[in-house]
Amino acid sequence: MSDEVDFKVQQATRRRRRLLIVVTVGFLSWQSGLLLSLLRIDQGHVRAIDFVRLAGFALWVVALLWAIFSGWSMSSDPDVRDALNDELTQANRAEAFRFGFLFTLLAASAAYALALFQPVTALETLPLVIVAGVASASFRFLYLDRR
Amino acid sequence: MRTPTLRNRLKEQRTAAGLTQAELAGSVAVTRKTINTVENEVFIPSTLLALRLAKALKVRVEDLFYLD
Repeated sequence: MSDEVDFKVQQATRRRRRLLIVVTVGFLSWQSGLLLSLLRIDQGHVRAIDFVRLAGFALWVVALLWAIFSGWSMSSDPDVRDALNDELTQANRAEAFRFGFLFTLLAASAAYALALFQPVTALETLPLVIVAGVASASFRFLYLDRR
Repeated sequence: MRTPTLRNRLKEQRTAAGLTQAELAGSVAVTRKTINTVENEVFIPSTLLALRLAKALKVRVEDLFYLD
């Protein structure tokens, strides 16, 4: 690997990390509005904007999962793209996936425990479970990628 | 029974071969960061990468990795 490619790889890695931070934090900030929309839908007060918010949520989940698990190659250079998806990145991704799965189960268990004391609907629970899984996987990947 | 720890002599072998981390990384198609994390024993490489590292440094895998 030439110094030039190595420099490009480091630049692209930093860019990928910064973008992932922005997208994950944006994703989490989106949640308050989404939860209010879901409560309105749950209570039968449906507005078109609520479905737009839901579609945005789904799109954001897919984008984040794609970003973490596809490598999100930040370069058109094939050498840089390969290097950004090397064995270490794949191992970090697998660990992030495992972490996300664990948090998904924890969030689902917490929702189940809560449901024993008060009624909770799928519309209230599922977004929280999805957010817990996706955001924890994303943060774990960021942590491992910084080592 | 204590689980043995995988240790390595990658840094010694690499410097003995007169290679930088970037040069070794290039010859085995990984990033310099991957070589760095292997040298610092943060990341345990796959058998495939271990064999490629040994081949690139012209040593046996046992000369690079050992159990402690």
